[in-house]
Amino acid sequence: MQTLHDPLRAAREAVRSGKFQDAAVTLAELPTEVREGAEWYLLSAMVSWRLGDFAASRREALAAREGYRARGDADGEMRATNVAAAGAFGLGALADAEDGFHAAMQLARELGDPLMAARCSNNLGNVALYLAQHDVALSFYRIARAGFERLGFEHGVAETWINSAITWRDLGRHRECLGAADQALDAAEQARAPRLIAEALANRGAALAALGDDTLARVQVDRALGIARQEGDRFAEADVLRLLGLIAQTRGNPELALARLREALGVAEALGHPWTTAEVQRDLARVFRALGRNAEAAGAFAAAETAFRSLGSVPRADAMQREGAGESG
Amino acid sequence: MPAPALAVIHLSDSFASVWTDMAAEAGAELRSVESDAAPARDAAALLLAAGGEEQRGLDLMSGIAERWAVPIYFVGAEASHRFAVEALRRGAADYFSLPEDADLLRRTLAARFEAGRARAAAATQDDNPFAELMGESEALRATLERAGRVLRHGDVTVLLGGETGTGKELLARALHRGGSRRDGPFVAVNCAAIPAQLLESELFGHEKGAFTDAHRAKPGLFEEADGGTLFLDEIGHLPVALQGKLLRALDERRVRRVGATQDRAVNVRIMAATHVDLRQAVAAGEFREDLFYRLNVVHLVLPPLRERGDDVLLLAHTFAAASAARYGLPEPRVGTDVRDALQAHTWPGNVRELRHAVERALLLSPPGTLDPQELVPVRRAGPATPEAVTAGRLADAIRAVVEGAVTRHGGNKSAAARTLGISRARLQRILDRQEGGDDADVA
Repeated sequence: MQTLHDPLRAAREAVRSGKFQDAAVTLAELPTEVREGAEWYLLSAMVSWRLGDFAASRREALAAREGYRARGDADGEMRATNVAAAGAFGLGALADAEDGFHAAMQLARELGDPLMAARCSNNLGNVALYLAQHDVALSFYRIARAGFERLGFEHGVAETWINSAITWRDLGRHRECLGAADQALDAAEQARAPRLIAEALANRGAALAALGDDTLARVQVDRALGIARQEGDRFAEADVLRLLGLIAQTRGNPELALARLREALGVAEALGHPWTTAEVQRDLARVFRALGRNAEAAGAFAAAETAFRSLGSVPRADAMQREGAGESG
Repeated sequence: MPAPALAVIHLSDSFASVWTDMAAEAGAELRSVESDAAPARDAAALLLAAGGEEQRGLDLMSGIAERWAVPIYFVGAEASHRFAVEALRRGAADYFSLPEDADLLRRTLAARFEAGRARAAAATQDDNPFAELMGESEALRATLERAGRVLRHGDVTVLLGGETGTGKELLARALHRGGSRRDGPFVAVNCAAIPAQLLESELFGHEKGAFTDAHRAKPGLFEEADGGTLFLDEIGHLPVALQGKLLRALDERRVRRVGATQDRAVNVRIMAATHVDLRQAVAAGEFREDLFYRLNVVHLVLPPLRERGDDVLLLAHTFAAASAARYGLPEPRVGTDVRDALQAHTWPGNVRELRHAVERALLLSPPGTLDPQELVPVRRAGPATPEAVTAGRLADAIRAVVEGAVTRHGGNKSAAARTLGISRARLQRILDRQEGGDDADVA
């Protein structure tokens, strides 16, 4: 049997193995006629997103969407719409992201693609979380979780529980955060996903610390840090270091808290991850303020505000501005 | 299903003829493997046949034990205590010296493969949807028997009762999984966790422009659960105004989004749960009687852990093993002191509390042990039960809690104060009986 030639095969394989830089090079070297196709644009958009070039990703995804639309390929259009929305999310254009994820979710429902529908719902939850619309976020995570559960996709189930835990933590509802993190850990272990296990443990640790059990919290977060480093997952590492800083502060050790938070900031900035950067700056500012180091606190609040604003998270940016001006946060 | 295999690494030919017979007697396939080979997937045990080559066997033992996850039986020709100890130290499950131990090895293999078959049989009973609700107590069995009967009656509406942490959602999921809607969604929502003003939109959805923030239409959970089950936890928190709308949805199988003018048909099975007595809520006018009867077609009540006898031990063992695996720790020994502590405590937070307590104790105790003080730390310290408090002994209860915390921290009062979330000065005042305190900090 003769197999059809797929000019994008090498690039797809590089993407599957997580070699995004290699994939970018392979894609750039393909002939012009291939680089004008919707498939090329979509794959390139995914690679650009992974490499952090959200503007290019969005541009390419929109080009892919037009290509798919022109030939009536609704499935391709759905996938391209989702990637374009993810690009907008990365750029902090939250309204565009929200529109895009909604459109992709609608298409997914029409096409009977429950996995994509669940993913879009999870993404819409993240948009709502950035906008500090906690109840909306929890609602989308709940719907996404039902979809993932139905498909037996434990990885997705774990992600929605982790996102729910983060949302509850943001609300100061630490018992609910702990409950969600427990569920996340079970699902992450079933999915055998170390990154998710680390994140679930970190959220458990944060909840336990907030509930006053900092000894157990420390065990959880230390283990999370170990897994994150072992897996080379620097996003998780930055978040876990930040939580270790918060635990140190809770335990009355502000110097250690500052050291941990600065470490976290270094990792977050090296990654160019504005959300984590914003969160670390906010926590640093609060520790500085508690120590009476007001000038440094003001600088960190301003940096957090800038980072949140760059993400389109206006309510959070405004809150940082108020807190920096000395109003209660 | 093919028979599980007995793998053999032949370091020598001594006794080679007996392995075939032993495997056959145990009901296993014999499979010869090289010492550096990858573990055979279907192997349930491994023999390291080292008769006359004991030292070489020991040299290889650690590496083999790292790769193979099944019990490894080291078989030598020398009844040497030194070899036996060393083999066990390097990861062997047991050491046998042939020909003296031939019968013992035969029995060991037979038992090993019989146990494997029993486990496999249990696993194939995957159609038992209640397997996750572990326990052998009369109280739990009675509830699960009733639940089993519910499965035979199809999509009947079920009201689940029981204290917090008894596993109501687990049972609801089991009923969904065992029912005809198992391929449909199971959507769980905790009515107590959603602000009352948002609950209507969450359950029934809304149309674009229905309220200020409704920038686009959104389906509610009834629509999301179409073809499956909607589990309404803490149904007692449902505002009275919404109870009528829920009743209508149940009766007519139709819902109307907020701001819509048309109904939508939905095909949803409802299960609800509550930890409060809904009859009392009905009597107090807080819950509609007609809705109560509509939900209470079958009422299943999960018993609290304190009424489940030895289930607490079974569950503690299970949680300890799972936590040990999670953290790469040795499975802890559960001694008499631990059993006593587990059974003495009343577990007001039920299975959820037990699970956290066991994990906590495992992490904070020396490896391979569970320290009873870590297992039930605060509550064992004194009469801090609600009964004791309402009996007018609040100050004593608080003092007992504080003393317990100080003891757990080896006399370090600052650390105890931090754990309890109070200042060290206040902790000292409580210990000096200068302050009874209120119940905000520690009760």
